[in-house]
Amino acid sequence: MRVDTVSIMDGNEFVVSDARGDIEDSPTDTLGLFRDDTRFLSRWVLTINNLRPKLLSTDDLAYYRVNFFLALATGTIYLDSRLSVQRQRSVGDGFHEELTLVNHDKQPVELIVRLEAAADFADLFEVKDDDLNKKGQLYRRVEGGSLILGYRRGTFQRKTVITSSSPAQVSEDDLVYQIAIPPNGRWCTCLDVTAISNIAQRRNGVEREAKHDHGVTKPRPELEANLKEWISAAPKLVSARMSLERTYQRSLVDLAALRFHAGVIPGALPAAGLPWFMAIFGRDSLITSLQALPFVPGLASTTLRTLALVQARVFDPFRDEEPGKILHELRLGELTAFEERPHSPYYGSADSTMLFLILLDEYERWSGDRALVASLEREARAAIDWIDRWGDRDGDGFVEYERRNSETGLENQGWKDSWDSIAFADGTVASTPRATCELQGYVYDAKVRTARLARLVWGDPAWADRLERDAEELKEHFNDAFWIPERGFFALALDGDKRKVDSLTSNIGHLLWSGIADRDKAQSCVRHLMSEALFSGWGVRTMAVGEGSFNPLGYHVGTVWPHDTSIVAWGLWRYGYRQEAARLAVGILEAAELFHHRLPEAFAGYARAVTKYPVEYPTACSPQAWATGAPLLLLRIVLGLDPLGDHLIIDPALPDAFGELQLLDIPGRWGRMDAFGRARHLT
Amino acid sequence: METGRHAQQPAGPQPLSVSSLAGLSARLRVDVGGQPAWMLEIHDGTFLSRPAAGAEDADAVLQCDSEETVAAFKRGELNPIVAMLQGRMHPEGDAALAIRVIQGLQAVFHPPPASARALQVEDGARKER
Repeated sequence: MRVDTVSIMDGNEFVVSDARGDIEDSPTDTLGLFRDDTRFLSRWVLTINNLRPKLLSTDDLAYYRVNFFLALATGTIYLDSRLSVQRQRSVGDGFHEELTLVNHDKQPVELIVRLEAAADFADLFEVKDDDLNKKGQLYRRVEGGSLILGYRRGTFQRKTVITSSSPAQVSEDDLVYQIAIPPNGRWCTCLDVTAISNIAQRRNGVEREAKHDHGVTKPRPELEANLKEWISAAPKLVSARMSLERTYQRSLVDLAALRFHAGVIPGALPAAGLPWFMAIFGRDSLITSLQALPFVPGLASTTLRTLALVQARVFDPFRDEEPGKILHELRLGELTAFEERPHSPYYGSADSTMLFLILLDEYERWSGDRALVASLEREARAAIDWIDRWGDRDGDGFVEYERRNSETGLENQGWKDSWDSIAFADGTVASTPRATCELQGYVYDAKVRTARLARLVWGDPAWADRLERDAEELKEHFNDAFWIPERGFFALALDGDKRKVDSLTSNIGHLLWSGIADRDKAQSCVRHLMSEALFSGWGVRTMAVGEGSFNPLGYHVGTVWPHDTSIVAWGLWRYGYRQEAARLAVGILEAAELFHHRLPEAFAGYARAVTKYPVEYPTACSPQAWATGAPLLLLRIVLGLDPLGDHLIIDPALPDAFGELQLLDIPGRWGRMDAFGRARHLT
Repeated sequence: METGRHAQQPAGPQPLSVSSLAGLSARLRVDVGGQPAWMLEIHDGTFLSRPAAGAEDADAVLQCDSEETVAAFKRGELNPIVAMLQGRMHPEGDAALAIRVIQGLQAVFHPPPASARALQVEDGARKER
């Protein structure tokens, strides 16, 4: 995605334009109005007297609203422009745009204002793959002064309705205004671009028809009120280091922007990231909810209930669906609707099911909401059944994956899901089925946590005993089968022939988080995690320098992912390595400052000592939910927050760089609590 | 519950047990082409279907565009989410309930193998045949 684009969004609805506010689709740019994984507007170009106004500035007011300030150029630097142009746009069921022209001349001016419009109704996958091949009928018509752009393929229907508050000459290609503005006068019109689909039940329960809000200075006032409420409900961070407060605020706002209202379950869950992943992802929504639990706990309950609702019930190789599995990704576009893609939902994720159980327990620990846990007993049992009956395919005691959908399914079904991410130290890609190490850690943690809930909420101590026995057996078996004594860390995976995949990767940090690593082995892993080979100075590289596949710009083989580092830090904290956890927190949070307080999904794995600043990864999503959640989890870690019964334990281990830190009004089963921490020399 | 009443009728249809609907008690009406067609009565994991007696009250209504859509779903040829994306099905009222029920019914019409290992055994037997 090119750099000079401007995005506004609300859940899975977003508008990406150039810096002038224009939308011109091209093979290289992902511009347009997108909703439900469909591009409802692919062309939206403003001209005045056949000229494109020039950009003065763009004012990014809120995640859902933006102002573009433009002027009609005179063609020479010696003459000032006498016409200023303002486009104020806000997203919501399409978008609302207020176009204002001001004549600064002492003479009246006559103008022809034109807005070209078109929609290709591309599925987001078609945009991503630059392969647009519509099988249905596109149509356009003028109806009652509105421009209708539509697409129909059998019963699948999508429609864009464009209306104007000022009279316009509307054709199938554009809206044209012939206007005269008096000296020092202004002209204004409102345009509503409404995206309509016939998917099930709309999020707001109705399909909004185009409407005019002319004269309303702040369109979508409910979004503004909702954002204020969201921020005020979250804990307040007070720090002498202002940039830390800014990163925290940015994280809260971006999480608000990424909220996805699925419409079926009340509340919102986090969508994964702009622009490619504005959808429900099991793994991303679960990890983000875990990271954000001490701050905005509502995300977790909606995530759990939504994922439970579409938990797999049948065996379906096309969707990599097996009973009890938690989904990987749900899409709503045309390719999904006609099963050219398997995302209805796609279940090709080997870790979401365990993460679901982990979040369920962590949610109860923080919230005390046993009613929700009680209501999800069937789903929790089905998830455990999936681990034992389907996740462990060959009965060797480990969960492994291999796609059943060999055409459009994912080859790698852990979080490192690019094709080359699971490789030996010599660079050879591992054969399938692959049992990656972190999956076994997640299973261990999920069973231990589910046992706790079985005793506490579901009243089944016998099942709890069995789960704990299984977990202990797994731990023993794992520490034996995955350990590479000559290198002093755990194998990344066992391949299809049960060979240890011997690359050094960040995955070993996830083992600390889960608690599956024996203490003595953990100590050796910590040395590797904090070594120059893995720790870049900003964060933990996905793969260590020196491994055969290492590439500082490789998506999962050398870049730094902030969420990954935050989980590694959580693991260090769990095993008592608080100074090391604090070092990772400092690295990531200082990187955030240099990314204008918004961490991208990934950045290059160059050493900090060399570049002095974090180098961007070219196609990283931003904002990305779990990158947004990383600063929150790191704050939890350095403040040492952890529930114990109805109490919140606060045991800070702050790095010098943070000075003093206060986190006020932390929500939980205790009501609200304040946490204070100050840096001291850590030993 | 209605299910109980119908379950007591000796000559009538018997309720089916659906494990994925355990703990759920509700009524889902299925309309076809805008007309009430079926009533699904669920009582703690058992379910019974019968012709709808007009626009009966229900917790949720599943609107289906045609009998063919219902038949394709029952044959396992139409995924319920796909049907919704295509505009062939849509839930009204308690949408979460409607989705839970039709998700659960998938397993009734197409029971899955017991496990991945059982599947391998089945596959092996099929290949041998």
